[in-house]
Amino acid sequence: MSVNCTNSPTTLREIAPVSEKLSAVLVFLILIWTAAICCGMAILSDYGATSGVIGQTAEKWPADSTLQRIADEPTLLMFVHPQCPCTRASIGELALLMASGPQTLQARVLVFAPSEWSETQIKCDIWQSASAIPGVTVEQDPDGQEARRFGALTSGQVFLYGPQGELQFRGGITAARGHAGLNTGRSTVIALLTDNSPRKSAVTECSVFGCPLSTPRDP
Amino acid sequence: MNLLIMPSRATILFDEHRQRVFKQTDRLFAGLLVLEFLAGILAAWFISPLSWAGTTSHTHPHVWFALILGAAIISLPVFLAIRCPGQKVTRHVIAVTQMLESAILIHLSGGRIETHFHVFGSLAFLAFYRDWRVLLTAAGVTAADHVIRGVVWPQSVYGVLTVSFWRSLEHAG
Repeated sequence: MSVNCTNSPTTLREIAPVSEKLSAVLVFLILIWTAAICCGMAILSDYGATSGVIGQTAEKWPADSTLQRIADEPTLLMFVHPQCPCTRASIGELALLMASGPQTLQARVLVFAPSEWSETQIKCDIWQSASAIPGVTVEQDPDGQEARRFGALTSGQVFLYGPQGELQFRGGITAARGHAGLNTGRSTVIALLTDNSPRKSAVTECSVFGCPLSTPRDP
Repeated sequence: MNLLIMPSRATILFDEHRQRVFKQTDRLFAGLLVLEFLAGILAAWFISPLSWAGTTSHTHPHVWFALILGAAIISLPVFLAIRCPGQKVTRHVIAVTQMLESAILIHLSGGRIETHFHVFGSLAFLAFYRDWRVLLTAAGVTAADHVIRGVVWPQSVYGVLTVSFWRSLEHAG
């Protein structure tokens, strides 16, 4: 295949409209290229839009949890994988949420901490970013025990419990995998926290985007 | 020979100069696109090197996207810039590619607002062609992206579940 459109530099022919010079090969190449790029972009978008699994969650604060809930105050929990790149966006959204929610809101970020991992692997940039958010407490979740009790399967999963320990929200607070920006999850949590009207009984759920908190072989 | 249809010397000089600008800018973009391709791989490698499932990991799909899709994106414009510099088709393919590079870098950076400035930087670089049609092509790609996403998946662009068609035009404008 030979495509060469170069002309001698100073003749008037070289500034003739290109459409007259386009070879069938060039048109074919452009069509193939366009099709390949469209397919690639569609696969990339599809990957970004693929949400993680939301586990079975108790609609009341789990009785066997070692986490203490603050009485008569809403509590927000976020379960994260310390190495999940998508979770950086979730932490960024949490920072915006904490800035928009009531000042009394207490949030806890539970960081998945496998027993065989070092402190360096667990207390990485995600830990540091979460720790820097006012009102957020960051703690380790050894081997994901609390994640299992609460039914969190995907990094970035948020649970909002009301003052009486009733589950109000479960899901993610990003619009796509690792994608920062306005999203329905964050807006919903802020609305639940700031709306003074009587609570609806139904739990609001949004898609969560992140790495799985357990390995496929784990129960 | 009818002298009335002969272009003036000024026109010839202008066209030659214009053609030289087109060729130089095509070559500039050939280098820039390769740099952007490498920057995309580095960004993917530093931002999201691995994807995890509990304690197991594998290379993050973003690294493969940056490598394979990135190479596919720049392949045709770099080829045209080398083999067909100065041609209209070359600069319009380059304009489309610049916007695609913006899209892939925005995606790799997690939709950070700062990365969106790559679009404006790209338009400034495309202005080197001194051809307004190239800017229209580039803006058209961005407009099409916003309109299609606004209809199919508005949350990916606007963070809301429904959006007016006019908002897509507002963003594109």
